[in-house]
Amino acid sequence: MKIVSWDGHLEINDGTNCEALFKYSYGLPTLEALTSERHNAAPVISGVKFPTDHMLPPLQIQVNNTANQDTIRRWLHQWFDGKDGRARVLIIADDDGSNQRQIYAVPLSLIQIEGGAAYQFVVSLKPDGAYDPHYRFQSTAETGEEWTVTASGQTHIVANEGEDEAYPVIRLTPTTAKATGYTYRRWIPIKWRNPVGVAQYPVDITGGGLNTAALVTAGKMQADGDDIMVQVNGSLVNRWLGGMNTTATKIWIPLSFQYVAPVTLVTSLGAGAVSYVEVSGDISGFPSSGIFMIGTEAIQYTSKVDNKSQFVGITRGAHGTTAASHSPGAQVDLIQHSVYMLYGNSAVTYTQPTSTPQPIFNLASSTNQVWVFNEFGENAVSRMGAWSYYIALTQYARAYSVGGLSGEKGLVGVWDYLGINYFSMSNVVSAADVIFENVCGIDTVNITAGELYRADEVESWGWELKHYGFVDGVAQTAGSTAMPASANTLLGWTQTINLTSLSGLATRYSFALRLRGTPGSGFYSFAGVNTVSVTLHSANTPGVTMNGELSNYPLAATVTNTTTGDAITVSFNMAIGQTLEIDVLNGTVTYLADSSRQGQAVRRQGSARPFWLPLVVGGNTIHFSDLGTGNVHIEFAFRERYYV
Amino acid sequence: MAINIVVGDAAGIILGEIRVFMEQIVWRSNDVGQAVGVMPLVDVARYQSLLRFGNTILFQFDNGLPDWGGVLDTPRSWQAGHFQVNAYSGEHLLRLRTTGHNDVYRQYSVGDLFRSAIVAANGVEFTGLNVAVPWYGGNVHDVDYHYKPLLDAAKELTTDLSSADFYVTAEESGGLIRFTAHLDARRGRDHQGIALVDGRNITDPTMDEQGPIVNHWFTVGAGSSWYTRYVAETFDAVSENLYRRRDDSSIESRVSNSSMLEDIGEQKLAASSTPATAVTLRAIDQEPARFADYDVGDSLPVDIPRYGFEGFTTRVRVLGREFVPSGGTCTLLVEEYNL
Repeated sequence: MKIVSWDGHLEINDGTNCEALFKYSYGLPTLEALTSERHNAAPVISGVKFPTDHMLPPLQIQVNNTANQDTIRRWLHQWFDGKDGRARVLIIADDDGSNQRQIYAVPLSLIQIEGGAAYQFVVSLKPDGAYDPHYRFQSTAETGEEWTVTASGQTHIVANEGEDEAYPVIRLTPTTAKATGYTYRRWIPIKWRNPVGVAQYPVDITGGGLNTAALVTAGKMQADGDDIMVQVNGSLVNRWLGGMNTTATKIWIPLSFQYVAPVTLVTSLGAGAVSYVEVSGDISGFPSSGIFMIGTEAIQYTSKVDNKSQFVGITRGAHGTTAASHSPGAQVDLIQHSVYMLYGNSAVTYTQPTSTPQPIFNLASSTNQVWVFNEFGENAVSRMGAWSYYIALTQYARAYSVGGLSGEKGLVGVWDYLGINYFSMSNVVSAADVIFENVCGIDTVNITAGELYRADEVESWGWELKHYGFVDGVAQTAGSTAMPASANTLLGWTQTINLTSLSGLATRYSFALRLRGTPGSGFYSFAGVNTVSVTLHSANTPGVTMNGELSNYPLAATVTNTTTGDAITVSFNMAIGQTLEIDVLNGTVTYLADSSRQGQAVRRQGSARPFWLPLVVGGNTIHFSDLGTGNVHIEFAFRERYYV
Repeated sequence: MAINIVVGDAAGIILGEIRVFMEQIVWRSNDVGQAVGVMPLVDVARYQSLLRFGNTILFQFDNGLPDWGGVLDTPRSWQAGHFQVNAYSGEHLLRLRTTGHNDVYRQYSVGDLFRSAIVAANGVEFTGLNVAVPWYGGNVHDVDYHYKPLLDAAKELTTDLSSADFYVTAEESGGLIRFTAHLDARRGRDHQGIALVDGRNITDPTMDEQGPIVNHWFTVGAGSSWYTRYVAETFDAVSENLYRRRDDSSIESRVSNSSMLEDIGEQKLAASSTPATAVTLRAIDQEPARFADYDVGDSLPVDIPRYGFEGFTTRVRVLGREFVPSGGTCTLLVEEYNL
């Protein structure tokens, strides 16, 4: 074995300037046994631990170029100055120069040997486990093994000619369409424009309605919508449909958002590839990697530099959008979730999960800007968009929703009607409120069906039905409703309450019926609603764009190393011709089309093990299964690993 | 790894940078984090004005960790050869001030209460905190404050009255260290493509399944007798079937509002009806989740196959993070989390 280079410096062992060698042979790291003690029995070894003090054998360097020994000395000091903690590559080879292999190590010391016959140094090198988990040498050249699967169940042998198991990078590239699964997908960027974050907010990802009737007619979608699925950041989520098989189907999903203020481009951006995008504004709130939109173009980035306001690792025209030129000052919006709608799977049936109850508003007639309510809540169930009520004194006032009235007002069902009902008042000022709130802000509340009732006694004691908008938490009066002209008669109630005239954006609306007095028993009055349209503040509601239809390759493969029995599943919806890269050593999954991280796509099958799919020394038979698979090009790339 | 340490006066005006050997820097969810460092006893006089108690401090990292801002405060210990410096994260500014007395809030959401309490305190004298637009959602509450420490009020709002999160962020801007208080429905993001994996980017995990399990709560409100006192009964039938019925009660003598009592009961139930799985682990800045990729409040997958009866392969939320610069590692406190 001979030293070839250190951090690219061949002079370390070129015979002219220096000669270098390990002072003694390379052993194995000294492992520490992890033991579990037992009563009346020897401890059980539950595992081993790698040492923290493992070092490479001392590297001895003899300076041959004695005519320039000061220069050589300076080189050595510079090459082996480890103050920055950076691991550098040491390359060794067999004595004949073949079979080059490498290890990464940090230089810890460079010591001149006292009394040596020549000008000699000894270097201490600490190998870095970030590059190899077991301090092995790895071949400098990658071994590549390629294979094209044409049918599920095919196998291929991958040979590992190293001395220890190898950890491959597996690249899967579908090249022809698959016979099963979801055939189509659409990418849907959603901008959260409201300066307050929110958890589990219902969003219509069609942005106003998708013509599913046409898709059904074209044979691309099931008539009942069972094959409509929504994928958020690579994982399928609950979705609810409204108005399926119509020209304006709504698809609702819950999403959580943080507010991240948009920034602007510093300089113009052409349509071509760039290494970074610089913006004006604070990007510390942007995630470390993600997606932003400029105009209609989605741009994926893999990292960022906050204090330079730069996004780095740029993929232009991501997610099926088109790269375009942009002017300085163009707005740059964070896209917090990569949302895809999937469809075109005639075989699938959908069972609505019960883990998240569906929004309370009318799913078919509501949009992201207008929520239409025919019911208002559900007892003991938290429904997105639900109204609430507040009762100051429970014995004197109640919302209909808590049980309703039987004689005075025939209710369709609990929570189908929400209002305030008074009965048996005493000498108090009673109060109850019906409340709706939305983080995006409320512009108008349109009561299209409601009812009012007053008992005649009320005239003497005052009726006050007021509507409030809460701006920054403070109530402002937005309107009132006059006392019904006729007593003891159920009257229809329609009214539009405009909250845009308030001094600020209202995020909560309430109406409150106040009565005062000491009427007798049996007294009652009420105000209630059963159909309401709430227009939300459109500048703050989610900005949704449903992009055009893309072909989809629904990869759902199991890759098994039958030699070891290890297997992984790979589930990912991707484009034909693009590549999903699985790095077994680092445990990462990357969609190379946009360099996005897709760790959720790979799951280990079988017993726990540190690496998903290692290759043992010798031949490894790899088995690929995916029902209805198209042609999938598979590449195994790995570095053979050596003890020395 | 490098840390820039910027010091400002009590108003946040930047005075300069200092070099401190930091032993630990802690971020916590809904509470105050702490940073501890030591400085040599050399030329200490020049640091006197920089290290005054009450001064502001900002740590900026080059390894992807978010800026940490806080306030220098006691204790400060002097020992042979060095002295120790303590700083507390921006949430400490809430601990330094109280509400007024007879501050009566009716029908206020938790975000509104949080904002209003800080704004009221700023009206007396600036707390050092600006308030971001809070989450105004959730049920409304009736609350009276009488010289209540703002930190206690914030904790109460985010534990007893809601499941919201509060936190304080710090930034360097316009020659100032600025602090902004937030109350969000939930702090953080949910990550899919990254993970904490035992043996790869986490090590030394410890996992505790903690109790006590209480699945049937009686939350008792104000009143002069048991005939007028409202009692909110909340229970989790699934938990009762799994772990047997376990009662407990909570006396909330200052609360007369029924919906507020029910909120408190629901919060207590949510926090106690199942055993909490708390995990501490040491994270290193490696794939498949680097330090820059996740923050306190975020949730992400974790894979610890050796732990739990069937392995601990689930999603966790980061509740706290302690960065130890000497080791380049972060100790994480996480808990199991369902999306």
